[in-house]
Amino acid sequence: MIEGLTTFDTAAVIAILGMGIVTYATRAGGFWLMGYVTLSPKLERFLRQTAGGVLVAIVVAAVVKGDPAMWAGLAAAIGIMIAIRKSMTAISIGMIVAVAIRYFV
Amino acid sequence: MPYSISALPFGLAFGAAALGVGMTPGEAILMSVAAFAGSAQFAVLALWTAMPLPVAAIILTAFLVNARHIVMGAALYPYISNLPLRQVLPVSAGMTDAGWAITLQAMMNGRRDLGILLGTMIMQWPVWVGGTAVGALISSGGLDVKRWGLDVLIAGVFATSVVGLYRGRDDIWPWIAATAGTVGALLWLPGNWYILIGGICAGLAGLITSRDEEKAA
Repeated sequence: MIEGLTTFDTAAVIAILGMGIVTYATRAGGFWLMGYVTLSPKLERFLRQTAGGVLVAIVVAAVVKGDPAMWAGLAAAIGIMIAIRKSMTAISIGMIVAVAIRYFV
Repeated sequence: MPYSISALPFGLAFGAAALGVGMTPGEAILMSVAAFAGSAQFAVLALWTAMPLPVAAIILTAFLVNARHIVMGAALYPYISNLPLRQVLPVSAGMTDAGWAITLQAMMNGRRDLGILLGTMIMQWPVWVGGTAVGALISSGGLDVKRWGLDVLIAGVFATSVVGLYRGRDDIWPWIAATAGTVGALLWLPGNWYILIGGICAGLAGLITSRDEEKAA
């Protein structure tokens, strides 16, 4: 048995179920809304860029809060992703770079 | 289908990273079952270390990361507008980026039922949940987030998705705006407002630059 398999924190469960509900709302929302209104190109663009901006924000925050090992790991991951477009390889190498720097430096 | 297997390493990574930030295995698995949303789940891990848990920020972040689904669903709608909503809405619960792309392609080629979306869900959901469980099992002995590079794993998921999301010059200004907004929010605002501010800055920049293009055209 995995230890903690049946351990739940109330706040965590509320957060998780809340995530489930809003995620379902976004999945069903596009279909449901289109039955009533049409999504203007502008609103579509706003939603698309908002989603991209959230991802950018998370990366920027990781860089601002991170140590040099994080910077090197992210730089490696981004470089490899641009070069070969394989996210799992890029992330793994980024992790190895950061772990190596933290181990040896 | 090879793409459903691709969910496995990410599921493993999520299970390990979730325990690294202090989630219990049960919570990690519950999240993969209930949300079934890779990038949103990784995104909230960045918030999970705070105590008490910022519940509202976590739910809001999940919404913002998943807001793209609204656009994706809207794009599929013209092909399935003849189907009853009571059939469409339950199936939509399984929509993932990959499943959506495959479904849209199939529908453009003339298919008009949701079987393919349902199929992608049946393939991917157990792989994702199972991967999370195994990842959590492996790391349930306790993991040092930094020593194992799990913080770089979490950030790396987003850094590579940003690269994969790049569609051309239209994206440059929104991303610069998101960066500026995030840095500003980190400097001057407490808590996790940077996620919302970064997203909104990018959205607004997208609107402004698109208007300029219309004028130029």
